[in-house]
Order: sequence, then structure tokens, then C-alpha cells
Amino acid sequence: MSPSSVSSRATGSSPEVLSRSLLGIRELPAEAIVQILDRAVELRERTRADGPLDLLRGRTVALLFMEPSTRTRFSFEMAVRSLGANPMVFGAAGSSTVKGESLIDTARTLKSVGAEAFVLRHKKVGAPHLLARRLGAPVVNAGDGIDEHPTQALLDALTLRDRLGDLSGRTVAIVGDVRHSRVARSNCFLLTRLGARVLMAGPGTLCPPGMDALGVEVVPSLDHALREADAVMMLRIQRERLGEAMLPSDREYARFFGLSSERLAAARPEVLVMHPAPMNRGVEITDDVADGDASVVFDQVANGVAVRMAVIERAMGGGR
Amino acid sequence: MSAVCLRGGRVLDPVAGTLEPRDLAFADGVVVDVDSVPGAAVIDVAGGVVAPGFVDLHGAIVHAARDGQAAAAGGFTTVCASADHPAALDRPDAVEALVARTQRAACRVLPVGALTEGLGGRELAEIGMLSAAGCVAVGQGAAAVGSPRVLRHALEYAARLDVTVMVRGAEPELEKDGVALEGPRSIRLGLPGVPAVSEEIGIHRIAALARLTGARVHITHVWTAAGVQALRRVKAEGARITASTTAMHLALDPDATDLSPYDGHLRFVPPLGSPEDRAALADAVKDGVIDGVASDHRPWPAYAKDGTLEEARPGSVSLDAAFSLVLHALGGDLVSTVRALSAGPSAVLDLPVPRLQPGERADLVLLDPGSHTLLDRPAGAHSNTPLAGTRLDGAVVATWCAGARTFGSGAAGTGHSG
Repeated sequence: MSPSSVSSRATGSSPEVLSRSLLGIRELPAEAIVQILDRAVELRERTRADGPLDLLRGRTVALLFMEPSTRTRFSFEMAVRSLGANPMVFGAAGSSTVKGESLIDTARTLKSVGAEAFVLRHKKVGAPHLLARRLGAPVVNAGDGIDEHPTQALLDALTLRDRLGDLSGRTVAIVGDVRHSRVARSNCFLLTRLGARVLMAGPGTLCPPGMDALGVEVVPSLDHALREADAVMMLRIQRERLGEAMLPSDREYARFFGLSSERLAAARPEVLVMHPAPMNRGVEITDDVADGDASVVFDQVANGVAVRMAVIERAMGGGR
Repeated sequence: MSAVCLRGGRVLDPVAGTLEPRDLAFADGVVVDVDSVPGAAVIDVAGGVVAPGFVDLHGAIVHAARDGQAAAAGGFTTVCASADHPAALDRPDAVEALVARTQRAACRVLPVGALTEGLGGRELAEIGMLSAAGCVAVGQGAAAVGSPRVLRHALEYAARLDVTVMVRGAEPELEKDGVALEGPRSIRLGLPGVPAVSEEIGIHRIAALARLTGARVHITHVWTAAGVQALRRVKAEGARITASTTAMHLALDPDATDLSPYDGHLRFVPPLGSPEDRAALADAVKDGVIDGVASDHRPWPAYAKDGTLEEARPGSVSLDAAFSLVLHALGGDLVSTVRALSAGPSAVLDLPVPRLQPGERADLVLLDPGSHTLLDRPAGAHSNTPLAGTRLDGAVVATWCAGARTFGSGAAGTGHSG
């Protein structure tokens, strides 16, 4: 079989437009990652000094949130406004299919009234990839099922870079439900691409050995992960959203994989503690750790706006 | 009587495994001795290969004319109409209606009835009445039977009636929500996975229950190397089972198309396997551990395939591409390809095994392995395929069903499009 000279079924998407999308970290080269992070730092400095910018004044970005989200949506909305652009927010958590009229026609409608780039959160894996092909406009993935959450990984990388400098040769531990975590997946792609070593720990059901396909090392316990880590990312556990027979109880999880100050004491003294929020205090992280000196959780949130500004500016073909 | 002589080609006997230059004649729908019909109309088939018409173990016949024509274009002269597409074929009157409306189709249509009511895997379908209404076998389509108790009873019941049971090797509890083979690729792409052990467990369970009940069982949709290995083991132990894979599972690499890996056109049940799985399937088809390759033809209206992998309905049209796909997967091995598409399936179904000898039904296909098939781009509804616009090696040039031309001009040496 030779799939020869077959043109893409995409309609009207030039490679240049598609390349401005951010569908995931999986396909993003290291240079593009660094470029986005560097630009995020510049934008962060300028907004700190001057307040909202007018780089994209009069232009419109559509935010399609087909799955409930408050934090990520606010962060994107703030990013759009901070660039001087208008956010056009569409939320429909109930009727969220890619097929048929719902998503693609909705996006086409918003495109025809002026939206130039689309931020999409969707519960179906690959939804942003299909939207980008069909729509012929840049799409930024704000989370698709268990696949990717690239802006979260970028803001995590920015937070790490602020504290550690170059990430090459550093060790980052990711702990918890990595199997169902788009945050973990995007972080694995990003950190390994920038030369960091990634350790993963979690219960056998949520962190199976096959995860090493992501280029990471699966270690047997939280203590193993903590011993060598420059930073540890604790993932949110939502037992009620897991399938049957995945986790016995919250207290059993806390006992073996919850980060407490006692456990943290065995880590390197300068270790950073991260969490994508919202936190289940008392399950994956105790109060004293979440609010302690090692925690950079709120730096992460603040960096989210800067990173999303850089990503949106890139999707819109630059501003300046 | 009108006799036809195909002159100058090579004739492929899939049982003997031979490909010899000779002429082949047929009259009144039956293969005859060439010398017995001196006045036969001659068709020059120089450069072509004359082989038994293909027998599809399961393909959907939704529209008798359209899907029958697709079958003929793919070289098929017999299609076992799937038990599960477009709906469960679980009522005798529906079987009779299918038989009636496919009387004039461009291929012989043999229905496969449902094994369980609504294919739900809980209550037995009216297997005896379905069989009496014309079903050649009963089966579950791509659905699996979750309960070992129900499967046992279904096999016991069918065994007494001596009806062949077609069922997929699967443990549904392990397949829930999965849309891709579980492994490095699914983990990298973030796709919910189906572990290959699902098939391994399923095949062992079916083989054990076939032994217990004495039922004649055909395992469909074999898709993993683990499944092939299980099949080898149970066959070596003497299990009374046969097996098939599908053309797409045998040949389609989801990463070799121009589609996004998340495109609904790549949705299949069971999912497509890895290169290692395809290699194991090809070996098993060549050495006969897998007895045949089915088309698993599934036409859908466009909206059913529009959407992500998780949203789209499973399956693709494939009757037209099956020959080229199998030939490709078997590395150009024409004899094994024809055997897997004709003699193998005939034996599974207990039909006469074709060898193109006088007296046999003149179900014939003229092949040109040196040509190619260009698959059309979907033009509208019911042309769902992940291979649109793809060029495949090998072409079906003409097809005769019971001596009647159902496809092609008869001229060898020219490929066809479509």
C-alpha cells in the first residue's frame, strides 16, 4: 500500500496557519518551547510595568469551553484582555460533540463574525486536532480528554525555569494519577524535550509500568521519587471520577502518595512543590506543604496568564 | 447454451497452491471442460490470473444494489451478510426479507443471523428459526459475549442444530471505552486503550467452551499477535475452531494514512493493532492458522464517521479494497491471498471448496496482480474509508457470479479505478 500524493482532507488550512496552532507539546520542537517561554517572560515584565498591553487591539479570540472549567478559562480570558484583544467566550458543557453541527459549525460561526484564533477545551481526545484541520484557523488546545494540556505544561516549565534556570539535567517527579492526566502527559513531553529527567510515582492502577513509553522512569514509591527530585508535581486525585476498583480510599492514597511535611523532609532541601490546582488538601497534599515555603502553586497560576499571552500572540501571527 | 472461454491466462487453484497457464471455460453457470464447448465466446485474458470468486465471511449488505456492486468490484461472488450491521439480524422475518431483497444483487448473499437477542449477549436469539430462514451461520458481529455462562449455552444450543457460530475473542470488561490498542502508541497519543490480553483471554475461553460443548466455532476479527499465539496453541491442542481476521486489521497502519490519528475514519472494533500484530496476522494467514480474511465491510452515512476517534461509529467500506489490502499484507503472495479470500472461507462455512474444476459453480475472478487499484475519494454518503485516494497494488479486472458477468470488461492488463 502506498498512500501516495494524497492531499489532506483539511479544508482551507495552510501549513502556516496550522503551524500557529498549539495542539500539544508532543509535536512541539524544543526551540518553539523556548521561544514561547522567553516571550512569556517579556510579556510578564511588560504587563507588570505597564498594565494591559495593546498588541492585539481590536482583534478577537474565541474561547470554546465545551467542558466545565473556571480557572483555565479565566486565565485565558485574562491573557486575551492583557494583549488588548477581545475574548469571545462560548461555553456549552452539555452538548459537546465534535461531529455534526455542534462544535465545528459553532467555531465557523464565530470565525465568520471575526474570531481569528480559537482556544478549545473539550472532553474528547483529539478534538482540537480535528477542529484545526476542518476550520483552517489556529487552534490552541486548552485540554482534550486525557491527551494534553499544553499551556499547563508551559506554565509549569516557566515556573521551574524561574527558580532553577536551565532545566537540562534537572529531575522532576510527577506523582499521582498520571494515567488519566493530560497535565502529566504534556509535562512529560515538555520536560524530556528540554533535557530534564522525569520520575513518575503512583499506585499501580494510576501509574502503570507502560507509562515509560513517554520517556520517563516509573519508580515504585513517593519516597523514591522525592529522594532525587529538584521539583515534585503532585496531581489532583478525584476518586469519584476514577473507574471502579482503581483506588481503595482517599486515606490509603494519602498514606502512600500524599505529600506531607514529614515526607518532604527526606527530599532535597531546595525542592519545589507544584500542583496544577485545584488541590485536594489532605489527600495528595497536606495544608502545611501546600502553603509552605517549598510551594510554588500560586506562582504557577500567575505564570499561566503570561504563558497564555505568548501562546495567543503566536496563534494570531504575532503582534508587537 | 452460451459458453465462455477465458483464454491465455493462468488459473489459480488455491487448494493445490498452483498457478498454471491454461484456458478455462464455463457454460450455464458451471465450469466445463474447454474441449466440450468448441463454439464458446472467447475472452482474451492474457497476462491475467483466473481464480475462484472471493467468499466474504462477514460484510454488511445494507443496500443490495450498491453493496452487491462493491462486492463484485472487489472480486467477491459470495458475501455473508454481517449479523450486526446496520442492525442486529435477530428475527427470522428480517432474514427472509434480506434474502428476498438480495436475490438480484451482484453477488450471492448468505445472511449470518444473530447469536443472541439484539446481540446483547444475554438471551439466545431464535437460532433454529434463523437458520431455517436461510442463515449460513449465527454470530455476534463485532460485539462480544461477556458472560461465559451465556456463551456456553449459546454454543450448546447451536451445537445440537449443527450451526456454525461466529464470535470474536474478547473480554468486554477489558475493552470498555477503549479505541486504540493499549501500548506505547496509545499512551503517547492519550487514547483510551484496549489491551491485547482481551483477545488472548477471549480466544482461550471460546476454545475451552467449544471443547466442552462440541460446537463448531469460528473466531472472527483476530487482531493481535497475542490472539494469534492463543489461536496457535488451541488449534495445536485440537480445538474444533476456525478463525479469520479482517482486511483492515491485516493491512492498515493507522500512522501511514494522511489522516490525523484522532480521525473517526480510523475507528475500528476491535481497534487496529501494531506493526508486530500485523506481521503475526500475515504469518498466520500464510500458514493457515488463520483460515480466511473477511472484508468486514461497513458502510456508514457521512455523519457517523464525522468526529473524533471516540465519537465515530466503527468500521469502513472495504469490499473494493480487500484483495489489494490482503495482497499487500502478504507481501505479494498471490496464492495465499486467493486462498484466504476463497477456499479458506468456503471451508469455514462448509461450502464446496473451489478449485476451478468442471462441474463447479462458475464463480470466478480475473485478477491483475501487476496493476493497481486507486480508491476513490468519498463522494458522499456511505463511502467511508481511511484509504480515500490511496493507490493499492493489484487489481480485480472482472468478476463472474454463477457465470454471469458482475464486474469489469474482461480485458486483462488494465487496472480499474474504483
